[in-house]
Amino acid sequence: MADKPKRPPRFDVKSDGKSGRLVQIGGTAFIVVFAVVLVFYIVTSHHKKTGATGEGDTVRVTSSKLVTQPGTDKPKAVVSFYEDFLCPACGNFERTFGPTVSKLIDVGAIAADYSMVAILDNPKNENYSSRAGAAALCVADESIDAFRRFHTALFSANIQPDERGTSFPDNARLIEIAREAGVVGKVPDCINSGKYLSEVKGEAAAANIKATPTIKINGDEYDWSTPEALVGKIKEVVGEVPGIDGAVTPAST
Amino acid sequence: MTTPASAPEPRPGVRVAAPGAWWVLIAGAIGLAAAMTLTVEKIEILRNPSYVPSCNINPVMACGSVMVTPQASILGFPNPLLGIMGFTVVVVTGVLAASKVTLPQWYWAGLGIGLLIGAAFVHWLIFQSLYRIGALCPYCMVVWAATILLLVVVSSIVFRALPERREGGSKAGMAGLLYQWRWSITVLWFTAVILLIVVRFWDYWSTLV
Repeated sequence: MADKPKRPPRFDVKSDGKSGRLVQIGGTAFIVVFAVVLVFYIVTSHHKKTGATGEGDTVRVTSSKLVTQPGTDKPKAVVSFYEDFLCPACGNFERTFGPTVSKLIDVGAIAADYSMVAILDNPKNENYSSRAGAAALCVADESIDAFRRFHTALFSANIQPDERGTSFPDNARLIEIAREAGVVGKVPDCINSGKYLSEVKGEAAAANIKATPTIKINGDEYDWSTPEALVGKIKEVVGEVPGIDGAVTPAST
Repeated sequence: MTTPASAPEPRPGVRVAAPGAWWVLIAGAIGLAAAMTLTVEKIEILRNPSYVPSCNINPVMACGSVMVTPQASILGFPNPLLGIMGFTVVVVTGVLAASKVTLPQWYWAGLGIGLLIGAAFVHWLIFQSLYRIGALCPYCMVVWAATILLLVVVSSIVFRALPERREGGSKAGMAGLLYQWRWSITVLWFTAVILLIVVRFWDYWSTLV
């Protein structure tokens, strides 16, 4: 408090009277409206730029060695995976093909597009399909490498829940698996807030997927049989790529 | 000029205008009700770990996840117990002021200091809730609002009771300026906190629209 009685006050409420009050209210209202509009503008324009990785809710995984169509940066082979984290067939597929797909990505033969679908959502499984799918998108927002580990982990035999089971990993467990895959960051908030739930729930309809896993190579549905056959098929599309030969035998668990 | 040096006679009490008194009483009662509810919910959670508190509305508005954090018992016991004690004093003060009992100036100053500490604590809790816990607890937010409002009202009462420096004039200096603009500052303060909440949980709010 200024203890100088002789100094005249710089502001005097009483001399301003009614108009001073109006200036206060008007000025405050103006600043409030301005701040609100500014913040909403920043938040909404920023939000459009971030959001899901890639097209829709698709996560694209590539390596720096990716073989592209001559003169463009488009990959020669795009393999799309439409998977539900709860579907047993997807688990089998990933446990059999995962290491080979991973190798095809790493040698640059393919760009892998992962779409998380939730066709098995049910209150009985606590909507695990969409929660796990949304969590995968949250992880992908932070790091694609972590997404690959997270994706593999969710399909591993000891984590993927039984479709008819009684216990399903809750969001806290998903956050923990993400942490083990190497990310925290905004992942807990993203999972808890259900940021991508609606996108994952709508993905099957949006991509017209009737069954999982559905695998597409450059948009054409691919009828998968063995990892060796997949490697052969990719070679037909992209030709010889160093290191492409040979499927990777999954580690027996 | 009156200099209060070595004034032997007891200071006159503080006369509080009716609106101020009712503000104190009502805000105190609202804060007390919120602190009581939080305490009761806390006891329910302790009795039954699977109890879902009444304020678990959605993933962001979830007092259950806030109440079990270490920040919710910062002194080793649940924070709302502090609220019950503090707001009870405020309510009693409000009742006395509303019934025209004059209380000494040191009492109001003491209440103001208490509320200043309370408001500082509330802002720490706001920070923790937004950026460390990542969830909001509706009853806690009622306590935040009540504490901030009470700080403004009580410090105004204390300020008004300060001795006048010039005859008929208003009090000069920083404090006078703050006093004059107190409601503008309060409105801007609330706006700032609300906008922080909006931005922090935008990912969730945007899924609702």
